[in-house]
Amino acid sequence: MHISEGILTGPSFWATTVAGAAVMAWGVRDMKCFIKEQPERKPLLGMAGAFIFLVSLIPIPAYMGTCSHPCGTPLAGILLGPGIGAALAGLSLVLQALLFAHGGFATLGANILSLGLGGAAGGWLFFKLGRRLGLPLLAAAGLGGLLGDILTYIISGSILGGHLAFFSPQPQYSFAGYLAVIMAAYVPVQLPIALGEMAVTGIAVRSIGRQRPEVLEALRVVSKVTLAIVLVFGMAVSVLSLSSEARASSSVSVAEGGKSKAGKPGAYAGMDEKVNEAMAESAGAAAHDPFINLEDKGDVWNAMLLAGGGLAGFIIGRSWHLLFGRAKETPNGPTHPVS
Amino acid sequence: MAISRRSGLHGMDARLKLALVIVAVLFNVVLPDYRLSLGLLLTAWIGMAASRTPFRFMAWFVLAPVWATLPVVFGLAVGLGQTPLIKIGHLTVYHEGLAQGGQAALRVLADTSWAGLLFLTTPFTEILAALRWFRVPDVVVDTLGFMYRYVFLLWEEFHAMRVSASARGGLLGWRREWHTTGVITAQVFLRAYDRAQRIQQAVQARGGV
Repeated sequence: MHISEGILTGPSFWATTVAGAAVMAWGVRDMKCFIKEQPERKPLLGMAGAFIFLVSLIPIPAYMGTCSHPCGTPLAGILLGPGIGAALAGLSLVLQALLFAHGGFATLGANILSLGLGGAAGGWLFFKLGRRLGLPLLAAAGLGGLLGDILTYIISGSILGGHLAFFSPQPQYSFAGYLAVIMAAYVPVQLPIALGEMAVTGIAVRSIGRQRPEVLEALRVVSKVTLAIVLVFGMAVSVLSLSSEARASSSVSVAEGGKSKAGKPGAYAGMDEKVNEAMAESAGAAAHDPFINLEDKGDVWNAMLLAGGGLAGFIIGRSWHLLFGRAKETPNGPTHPVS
Repeated sequence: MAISRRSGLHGMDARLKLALVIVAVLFNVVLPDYRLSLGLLLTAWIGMAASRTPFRFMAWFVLAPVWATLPVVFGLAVGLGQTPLIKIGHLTVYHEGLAQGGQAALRVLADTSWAGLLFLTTPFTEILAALRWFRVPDVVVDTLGFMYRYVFLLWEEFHAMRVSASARGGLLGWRREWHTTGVITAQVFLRAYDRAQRIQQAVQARGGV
């Protein structure tokens, strides 16, 4: 699941490279902390890096008789933590570019963002959430593997879609349109792989837990700072993508004199309309307006997003003790949380 | 095939080669022009040929990214542009998109050829030393060295276990294959974990840190 070399140029290249370098810096800081705290485990980093590289070469059966390779980074994130997992994913990408011409140097930053941040940090985050919600190792690690993979695809698709929509000459679609096309192409190919990775990650972590539980205990180095960084980054990316999408749709409206194809001022004529119209035409029916058109209802959609965010925030806040442990009661009041 | 360490770029300082590769990739990406990509591609191939790099290795760095590049070329050809060229069913290939796709393919070939030029003419230990000279953190260089040293060993162990499982019928059907692959992956990780501990003990026994 790599963005191929030579695809990203100009601002996309610089933005992803700088962001990827930041993720690497965060991971290297975690690696240094790991060595400082446990100097006797220094070779484990290299061995774990080799392991990640190896996992990305493992064949997973997908369609009839075919096979593909997993990302491997959710498993790395689960076993080694998000920062180290992301950094080792970056180093693994360097070796893959050198040995197999897989990925490349110019897309290294983008691939670190998708495979390192999405795969390793995302996989770790969902694994931790699963564990805190009481899921067994198999299910929690499987959840981490599946959602880490899906997050990887979403980030890759967003980077590619953003590059094509905003920085390519004569784009055919908007950002949302390209994202829809890319995801439509990903789903049939990548979903079986994500399911395979879910199974392999879950079974691998459960096997390690059954055979050598002390290994999992020794490796579970989790800091609240890393979780906060992942959450803040995720929110920042969401906000930026939403605002850029809003700018793109408003610029389309302005370019068309404030009238969209449908004749509604400011309405977004994008991929959905084209696909729906084509489907209706091929079925011999006339396309009509959606029964529930949120775009005509002013800020209802934004209000729903806000309400969803608020609800998610409430659930996270309500489950905070599951994520970070309850505050330890002392005679002087609560102090450090017990994890 | 024995390759003379003195021929072509084999004798050039690894730091210089690393810097050249970075500059070439940067130029290729920052100034997207097919003539520049073509020039870089030819330069890399000439460099590899002058270094007497075996043809099959050179071909690997050309063919390996092709499978990933072709969908990109196709995607750009149908996703960008305004001048229709060919209509394939519901899809229209655009002139501008095809030009963009071809340019992207050239960039891919140029970049991977320069990566091949570095890797095929420089021992990995020299690349690591060059990285250290460029002030890359020690933990990163050491980890890269370990990864390169042990990845093939771990792969052999994984492969041996997989062949063994296959001989016992452990790969019959996708469900059993997923299960077996998960169990083998866990075994390989535990072996890597134990090996890391033994390496550290060996290093400490020799007075290392």
